[in-house]
Amino acid sequence: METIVLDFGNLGINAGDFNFWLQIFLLAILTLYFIYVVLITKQVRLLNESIRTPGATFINLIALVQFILAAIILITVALLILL
Amino acid sequence: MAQGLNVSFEGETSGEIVLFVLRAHPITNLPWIALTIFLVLLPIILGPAFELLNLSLPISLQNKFLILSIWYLFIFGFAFQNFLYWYFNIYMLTNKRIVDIDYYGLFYRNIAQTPLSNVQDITFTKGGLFQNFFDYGDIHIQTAGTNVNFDFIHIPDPEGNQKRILELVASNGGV
Repeated sequence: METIVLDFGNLGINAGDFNFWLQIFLLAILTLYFIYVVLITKQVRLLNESIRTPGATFINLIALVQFILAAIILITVALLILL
Repeated sequence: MAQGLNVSFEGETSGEIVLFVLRAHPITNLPWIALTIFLVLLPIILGPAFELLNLSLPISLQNKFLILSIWYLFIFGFAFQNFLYWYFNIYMLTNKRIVDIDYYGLFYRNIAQTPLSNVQDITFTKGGLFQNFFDYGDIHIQTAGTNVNFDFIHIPDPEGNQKRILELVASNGGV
């Protein structure tokens, strides 16, 4: 039985263009995700204000870490497109 | 005098002490934790599989790194959101009332409460192999008149907690 080998490199796609549009796509996704992270961070703060538990500091910290990571990756993608 | 917990909430009246806080049993988090682990491992499994099948996309190393970073960022967000659902779905019993805080979505919360004196009946359900093995179940609290009834879902030790709630309600002139 013959094995079918798929090689996307031979489909005539320009690698440079493909990578540029891929970065644009990633930027769009990350922008939406960043909006979600901002909302989550705000929501966590509100929840911690309405229910004060011993774990509040830890949860706020996780939300902050998520926010910083999302911001770093978003800025990296934006810089890669611009530069 | 009952010892209060280090928990307080919005709308707490003066002299009100949170006596116990209940959440769903930690084992109920198993499905999303298992899915998170699977999603974390997926690129590690798919990477060699793609190479084995000779499937290659003209993606630069830089972009591969970005895709992986975004993938793990999404998983982090998914896990955190599920943790928040568990952590902020709380059932509280104070020396004055029962408070049920439900956190459904990003900006949707439902807070129900009733004075302990309104409690009429407390029952619990524990069914199935999983619930019996890990000792968790549901507690149903029926209140007087048109007040809302309370369902504490997937609570650890439902028998013990039913007894504790009954004792608390009885000391406040209910049931």
